[in-house]
Amino acid sequence: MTDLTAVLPDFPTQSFSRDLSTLEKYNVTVADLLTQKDEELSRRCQLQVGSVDVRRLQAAILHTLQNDLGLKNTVSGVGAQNTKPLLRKSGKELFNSWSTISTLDDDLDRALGGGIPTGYITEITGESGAGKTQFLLTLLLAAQLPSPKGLSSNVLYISTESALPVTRLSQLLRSHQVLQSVDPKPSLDAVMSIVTPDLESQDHIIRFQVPVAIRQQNVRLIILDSVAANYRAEFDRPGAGAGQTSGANMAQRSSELIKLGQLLRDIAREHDIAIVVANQVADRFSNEGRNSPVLNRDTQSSPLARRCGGGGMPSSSMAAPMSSLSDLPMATQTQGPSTQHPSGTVDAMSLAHQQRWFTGWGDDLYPSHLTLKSQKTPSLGLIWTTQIACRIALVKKPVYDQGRMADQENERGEPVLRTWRRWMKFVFAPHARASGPGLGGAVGFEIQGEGVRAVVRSADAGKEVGDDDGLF
Amino acid sequence: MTTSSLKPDYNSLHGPGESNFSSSSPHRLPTVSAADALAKLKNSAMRCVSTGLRDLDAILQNQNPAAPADEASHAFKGGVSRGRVTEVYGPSGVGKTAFGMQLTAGALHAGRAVTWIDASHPVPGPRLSQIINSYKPVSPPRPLSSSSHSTDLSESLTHFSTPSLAHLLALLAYQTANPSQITSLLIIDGFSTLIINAFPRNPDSNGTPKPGVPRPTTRKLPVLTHLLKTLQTLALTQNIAIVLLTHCVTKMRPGIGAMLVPVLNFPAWEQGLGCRVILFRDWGWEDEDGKAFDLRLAEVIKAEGIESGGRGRIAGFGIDENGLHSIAPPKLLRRTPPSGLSPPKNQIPLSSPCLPQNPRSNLGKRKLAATDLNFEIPDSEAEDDEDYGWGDEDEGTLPAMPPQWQGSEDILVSVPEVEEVQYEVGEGDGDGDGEGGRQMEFLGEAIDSEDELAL
Repeated sequence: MTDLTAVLPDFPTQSFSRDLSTLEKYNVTVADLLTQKDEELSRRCQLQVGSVDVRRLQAAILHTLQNDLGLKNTVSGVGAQNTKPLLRKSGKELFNSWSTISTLDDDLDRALGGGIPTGYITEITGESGAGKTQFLLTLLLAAQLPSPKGLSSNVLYISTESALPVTRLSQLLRSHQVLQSVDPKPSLDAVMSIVTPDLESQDHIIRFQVPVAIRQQNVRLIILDSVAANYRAEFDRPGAGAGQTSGANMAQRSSELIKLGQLLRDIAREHDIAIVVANQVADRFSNEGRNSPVLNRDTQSSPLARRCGGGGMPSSSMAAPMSSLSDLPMATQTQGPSTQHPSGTVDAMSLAHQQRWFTGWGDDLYPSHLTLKSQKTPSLGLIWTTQIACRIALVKKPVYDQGRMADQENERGEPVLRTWRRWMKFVFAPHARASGPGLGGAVGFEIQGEGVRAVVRSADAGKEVGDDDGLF
Repeated sequence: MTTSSLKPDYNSLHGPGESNFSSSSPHRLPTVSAADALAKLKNSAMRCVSTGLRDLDAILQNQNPAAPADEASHAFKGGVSRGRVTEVYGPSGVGKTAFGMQLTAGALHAGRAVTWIDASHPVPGPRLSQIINSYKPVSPPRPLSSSSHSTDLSESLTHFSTPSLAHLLALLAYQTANPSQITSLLIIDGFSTLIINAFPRNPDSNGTPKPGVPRPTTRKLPVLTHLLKTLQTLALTQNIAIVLLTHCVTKMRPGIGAMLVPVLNFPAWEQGLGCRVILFRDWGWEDEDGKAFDLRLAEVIKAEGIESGGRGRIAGFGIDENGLHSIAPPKLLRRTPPSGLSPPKNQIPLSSPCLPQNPRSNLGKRKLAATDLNFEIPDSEAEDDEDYGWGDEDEGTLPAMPPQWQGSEDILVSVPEVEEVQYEVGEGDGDGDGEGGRQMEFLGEAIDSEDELAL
């Protein structure tokens, strides 16, 4: 059968090899086998109807599956059951088996509901320079700590672009108080790293070498930095395959993403490890008036009144397909005709509207002009969002200063970029409360020598609490 | 595949049957009046699993949600129906798993057993424990269980992980053959993941298929139909509420943009479901200070086997550490953020006359720009339909779009008054009149151009 090795890798195929190869020829999957009567199957595969073998195979597959699910009380003859954890947990096991990796900062940990949990895929997304790599490096070291801060394990860093920044990693190790005060100290030896510059090597490494590393080296944290890089390289080239249009390209990319998601989830579940994935973002373009119900204010008070107000309302329909969905770079973007549209007429179940809340950008009720201009969308779209369990968005905003004198580069004294402020926003997760709308609930942080440190900060890129250095 | 010789005990599954044959002799006719039997049926706790949200419980049973606490509402226990398959779908992070956990807490507190199946991400144990511990039933609880602490109730919770569709099928086969006496709820979290993984899109299926060999994708419909039938039978014969928590995918709608639709979107599926709920998010703000809060909405577009036709009824809720809590209707009605921004012109009268809009004229006015047809949306799944050959047949049976917060005269087909009635969760009178009118026929025009978008 076509997917037997994926579904039941340990199934004893010797006694059924002939039938299995026949079924494979006719594209029968395990699900097919379980849902079709044996007569139908026999007919479909041009076997003798009523042949005992198909029925036997069906029974054997069913038995093995139910065994794996922990449904059969008797231990089957297949010895593999002992090494593989059952796909079943009792209520008590469920409640008590929970481990997290700390971010080595109490405020950040609290916001994350304790830390990065094992068994899930957690995504950290944000612009370049937002602090993703710093976060990841901190996790590489924290995972080595004993519980409750870590998992006392080795860690694996898979990079798709550049090699592990070892210098920075050793600086973090030297500077962080918690890491230095623990015995045994975390070390760089426990960090395995590998570079997978293209999709093929990435797939091969994750599928075949990672499970071995996990088993042999006690790896319990895997970091993939970044997930988007290989997909964008491979699938954004026009005409990547022979005569493939970009639409088919996208379909293929989606199915690759789905396979990767399933692979990672299976690894996370089977070995109870934490998988943290870094993702890039693209700029989001949106029509001015659509971002907030309050933005497009005119004489009338409510969107409802505006809708029903009678004449004078543009009867234009919704704007053309939103370019916010694309993660192609700005230069190549063709925008649809942008129609002036009264705010608040976005349909609730549109991607553009709902993505405000699952991407980490756009859920501000009263966004400033600057915020509106700088909204981002994590790469790889809704398909990838569905694959992950938790999403952490690192938001960075510029802080401008008044240019003082004409002899600086801008003569008119226009605002000059002074610094960046960063926030960690917990977008969604099954196990903890999200940060909430806007940046009010997000945790401000800074990148320092010792890693990532939370600071108390108000939601707008303005005055920092406790900062006596006056701004503006 | 042997069937168990243990016959399910009908009375223990479906409750004491006063309206059933009370003696072994089939010649005895029931001696209870139909009205009594119906009343008993409606009020029986054997019929529903509460969601913990009073309004949603009522809406799921096609009842009026707003009746203040009185005799009737105390006796009435609403929620997700047992004996039916319910689908709850929505985008990531909206609260599907939390919703499932709350249902689990409700069933456990009512003294029943729950089976939780993880098809995608594992359920977070400590959070589930917390939700069970802090669960407050909608109606006063009957002392069915001696303790309501999660560690004791955990005995009645059975958990499975199904990494593939085959595993789920095997599990369901086992459950069907070995009925449980006390399970009232079966949750499959991430059901759509199994389906998507089991039927991957084959980019190279454009090659000439081998003669006589069926294309893999043509098996999707039969397998899904079989799966649905298995779920329905399991739900019905064992009086279990089966709840499927599923994700969304995007679909391009010309003239509208990318919409989120459920992964399973074909007629046989929708007809087979007993109930369908959409969970989504929208703007929400506090009355006095305009502070934003986290508002989530549940729209019931099919309940008790009856489609709502146009828009379904909505319940508002929020999520915190202890689970889901209702958000009262007045907050939903408030549409303007208060003060400072624009003077709220006292509550807009909800029955204000609005000009009925003719959607066809709107659509006619807007010409499809050239860019629409060429525009590629990376998330678009429009081309999938062509692979499965469903592109045409499922267009007409899309689930109704949930009500927009601020409406759009383009999509709205019926008289806008309907929309106000939608949010009048407090007054159920107008509901019956307004809801029937919303049709989707305008989509008929858009369908053809959808094909041009597809590849």
